[in-house]
Order: sequence, then C-alpha cells, then structure tokens
Amino acid sequence: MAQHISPSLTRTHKLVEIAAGSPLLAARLEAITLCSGLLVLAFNRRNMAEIALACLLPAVAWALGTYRGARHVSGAVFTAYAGLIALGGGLGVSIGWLAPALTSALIAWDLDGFAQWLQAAGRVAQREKLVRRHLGRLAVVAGLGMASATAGPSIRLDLSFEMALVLGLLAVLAIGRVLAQARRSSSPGEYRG
Amino acid sequence: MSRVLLLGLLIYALMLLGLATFQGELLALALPLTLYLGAGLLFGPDSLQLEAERNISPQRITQDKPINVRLRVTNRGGHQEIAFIQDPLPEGLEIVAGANSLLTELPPGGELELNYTLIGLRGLYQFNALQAHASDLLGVHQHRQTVPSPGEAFVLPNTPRLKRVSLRSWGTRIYTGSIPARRGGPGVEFFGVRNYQPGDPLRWINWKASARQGDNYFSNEFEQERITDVHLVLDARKRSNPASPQGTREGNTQGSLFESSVQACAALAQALLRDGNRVGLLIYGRFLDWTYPGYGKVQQERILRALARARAGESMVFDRLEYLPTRLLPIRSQMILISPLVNDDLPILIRLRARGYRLMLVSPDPVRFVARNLRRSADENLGLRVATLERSLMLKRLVHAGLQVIDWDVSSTLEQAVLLLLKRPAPPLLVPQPWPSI
Repeated sequence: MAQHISPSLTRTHKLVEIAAGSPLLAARLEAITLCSGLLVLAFNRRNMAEIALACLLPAVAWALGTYRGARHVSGAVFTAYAGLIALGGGLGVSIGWLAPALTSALIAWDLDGFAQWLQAAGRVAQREKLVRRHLGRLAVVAGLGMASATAGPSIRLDLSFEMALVLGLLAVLAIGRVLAQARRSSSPGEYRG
Repeated sequence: MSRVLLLGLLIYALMLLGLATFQGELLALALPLTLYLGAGLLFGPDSLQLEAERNISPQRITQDKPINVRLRVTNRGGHQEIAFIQDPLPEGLEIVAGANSLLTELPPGGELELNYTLIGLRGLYQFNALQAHASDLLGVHQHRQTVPSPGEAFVLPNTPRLKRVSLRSWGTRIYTGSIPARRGGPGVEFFGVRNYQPGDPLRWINWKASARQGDNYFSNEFEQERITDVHLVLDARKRSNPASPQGTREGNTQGSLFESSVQACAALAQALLRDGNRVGLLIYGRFLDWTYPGYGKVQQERILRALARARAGESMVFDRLEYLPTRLLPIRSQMILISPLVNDDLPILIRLRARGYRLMLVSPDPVRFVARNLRRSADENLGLRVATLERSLMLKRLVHAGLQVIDWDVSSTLEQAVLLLLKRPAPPLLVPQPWPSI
C-alpha cells in the first residue's frame, strides 16, 4: 500500500535533510534562530508582544528565500533585523540582548553570502579548509564585535556636547573615507550581500 | 547591493541614530559591523597580478569531437586568500568534462591549472581572457582582473564524402585532371579520328578507317582530361535559408537549412579538390567572404575554415543575387551555386547562364524542410502544394535555361541526391556564342 506523505511534511523533511548535510546551512539556521529567539525574548520581556511577533517574520522570509534559492533575501533580512535591533535600542531594550542578536544576524548574512559564492564557484579546491578558515575568522570578528558592543556602553567618558559632536562627526567622516577607499580599490565581484 | 555598501549604510544609520537620540547603545551596536568591515579591509587582497597560458588541443576539429583546454595560471602578485578564476566560454561550446572555474587560495608564485573538455557546433571560437576575482575571507574587499589568454578553436563542418563529382566545363586548365576537355590527345574516352602522325603508338591506329581509305593511316584520338576552375557560391542570405522553430544554432542540421548548404559545400569542395581542380569559395550573405581559388589540401583547409565561420545573415546590399561579383568569376568558368533559392533569383540565374557561365545549382529543398516542422492542417497542406509547384516550376525553367539542377531533399544524403546527375560526365553542351553585332 502506498504511503501518503503531505507535501508540506516532505518539504520540511527535505529542508532538515539539506541542513543536516550542509554545515554552512545548519550554521545559518542556528544563527537566524538565535537572532530571532533573542529578539523575541527581549521584546517579550518588555511586554511588546507585537514587535516580538514581528521579529519572527524575517526568519520566515529567510527560510522561504533559502528554500527557493532567492539570492538577495539575506541582505534584506539582515537589514530588517538591524532595523528591529535599532528599534529595540530606541525602546530601551538591554544591549545584552541586542548585541548577540545583531552578531547572530551578521553571522547569518555572512554565511549566506559565503555559501552562495561557494555554490556559484562550482569547483572549489580544498573546500573544507576554506570553510574552516572562513568560520575561524568570522568567529574571531563576531566575538570581538559582540564583546565590544556589550562592553562599550559600560565605558563612561565625560565629554562636553561639542566634543561629543566633533568626535561623532569625525567617526562618521572616517568611516565614510574608509568606505569610499574600499569601493574605489575593490571592484564588484560575485560575492554580494 | 555590494556588501561594503550595505555594511556602510547600516553603520551610518546606527551612528546617526545614536547621535540623534543620545543613546550610546546604538553607537555601540555599530561596533560589530565596523569591526567586520575593518577586518575585511585589513586582510583585503593585494592587487591581482596573474598570468595565464592556454593550451587548446586540437585547435581544429569536426563537430561533436572533444576539444581539451588546459589553462595554467600563475600568481605574480601577493597572497590571495580567495581567488576565483573563471574562463568564460564562447557561445556554442559546451563543457562535457572538467570545470572552467576554480575557487582556491593562491600564494605568491602559486600556480593552478584548469582542465576541461568541450564539444561544440560548427564555428570559429575565440578565447580572449579569463576573469579573476580575489577577495579576503569575508568577501568584503575584492579585486578583479581580466587576464589575457588568447586562443582559438575551429569546429569544422561535418563533410559527407562524395565519391566522384563529374563536371563538364567549357574552360579547362592545362594540367591533367578528370574533367573532359573536348580536346584530342591522350585520354581514355574516344574523341575522334585524325591522320596518323609519326610517333603515334601502333595501338592507336584505327585499322578499319585506314583500310577504307587505302593510302592513308588514321589514328584514334582520345579526349584529354584536365582540371578546371570551379567557383562554389554559398548562399548565406537569411531570407533564402529558412530555420525551423526547433532552433537556428550553427551546426544544428535539424534546425537550419543553411547547415545542410554548408555541408554540401564542404563535400563538393573536398571532392573537387581531391580530383585536382582549382576551387574557390564565395559566401554571399551578410557580406562577401571570398576564398581565392587554389589547389590541394591547403585550399581545402582554407575553404573548411571559411565554412566554419559562415553565418546566415541579412544585408540590404546582398539581399538579391544580383550583386554577385561576377568580376571575380571568369566567364565560361564552372560555377556551383548552393542555394535553396527564392523566386526573384530565377531571372538573375538565367542572366548569368546567358553571359556564359557554366552553372550548376545544388538546391536544398526549403519546402520539404519547412513541411517537416509543420502540423499540417488542410490550409497548410494546400499552401505546401502551391509552394512545391512553384518551386518545381522554377527549377524546370532553370533546367530549360541550361543549368544543371540538383534538387536535394535534406532528409536524404547529399550522395543520394547527386548520384544520378554527377556520377558520370554530363553530355557536352554547346559553348554559347556572343550575339552577333549589328
């Protein structure tokens, strides 16, 4: 007797199978889940159930986009998470929740782009080594970033308003110059967000 | 959107929000992104300095045979954490083994090799350069280089073998060949009887004629066989070469009637050159592609290469056969036109014949070619019948005008089509005399 399996169950099973077979996909899945979970918990603790619910939407969009092979969904999802995290910051959610959430979103976005690049490249020499090195550098950068973001607000410097403004503007200008330099020296490749 | 731009916008947004709302937390949230961007720029690749050497083997091949491509890339610059090398393929080629791209780490002085096998349809394929991207591990900072690595491969048309093409030309050259020259001399076929001349072999003496005359001896003469100039004219006009809905890619004989014309042209050139004739080729379509007449295998290669490059196309100038450059083709020479023909070609061909060209037409049948791809409703059947009648009438008029016509249904082989007409020499035709001046 033929066994009937519903299409949705088959798709879920397929997604789990793909995730189990691909460490990069599994890592992305974990990062997205962690980011959404942290944001849902953080907003829920402050009785903002609607925003908490909205935090699940980018994760669903990401899952759908990944399943359907949409290339640019990760950039949009990352931007959406950054917006929600900024909203959380504005509403007074603790940085202890927001910094890990932002780092998770950053990791998911990075791994999405990297996986797409590997897929588009076709033949990859020493794939395992390359993935290991990428994950290693990402772990260091993400760890440092999360630590600095978490520890940053606890560092207090007493500055006058003018000084703060000057420093802020300097930071904006410096980053602007760095970005301009990066865009000038690099040419757009396949590895896009 | 590029990764750098996205990160930059997010960092800006968080910083401006933090400054605007006096919230240090928002400024702190920009730190992970800034660190990520900084790491990408810090470990970014040096400028790319790659050299490439390409080896294509064989460079000349017939359709559906494999071409091996080997690319050796050497890094003359600094360390590249990730280098992505891709060799873009010319359209019409297809990879059957190996890969034309590789993602790898490339140390200074490091080498990598790309090996892959291609098959392709008829054409000249030029490889110009390979594309290289270098990036840091996070993919933030990227460099791109186009590395010149020229190479070319000829995929020649398939050439069906014709056993013998017997022509009867009005103008032959002095060298011995296989075309009856309508001159007495050494040969095989009987030509006539003349007075015995000292030095004639005894077996040439026509004893019956000598006995009838009594006091004179007569010798048999044989028809000399010489080579001739043959000009192949390939009609590459799009309007006369219908394509089927299945596709019009070059080399696909099922998709375009032009491919059958190309194969016929290649087969005729091969057979005529094998017999020692001097053969030239004119491709008449988008422009005039003229291969000057020549002998032997080198000429065969030239013609095959010209045919490999041939594409059906449109041109306002060469829309009709009227502009066939007859100055390139001497009067009384043998011309073989390979064309499906359109209705307005008829008067032009008759005019060419009247000017003294010995014309042979090899015409792949466009009506039957198109009919094979139709669903055949009653209306279409009627249309096909009308088209068939029109075509047969046109061909009959050409035969009456003195052209040798081969009506070729491309579902059969060219050998079958030419068997009846070309397996033995055609009967001699009178050389047209110029009109007497009044």
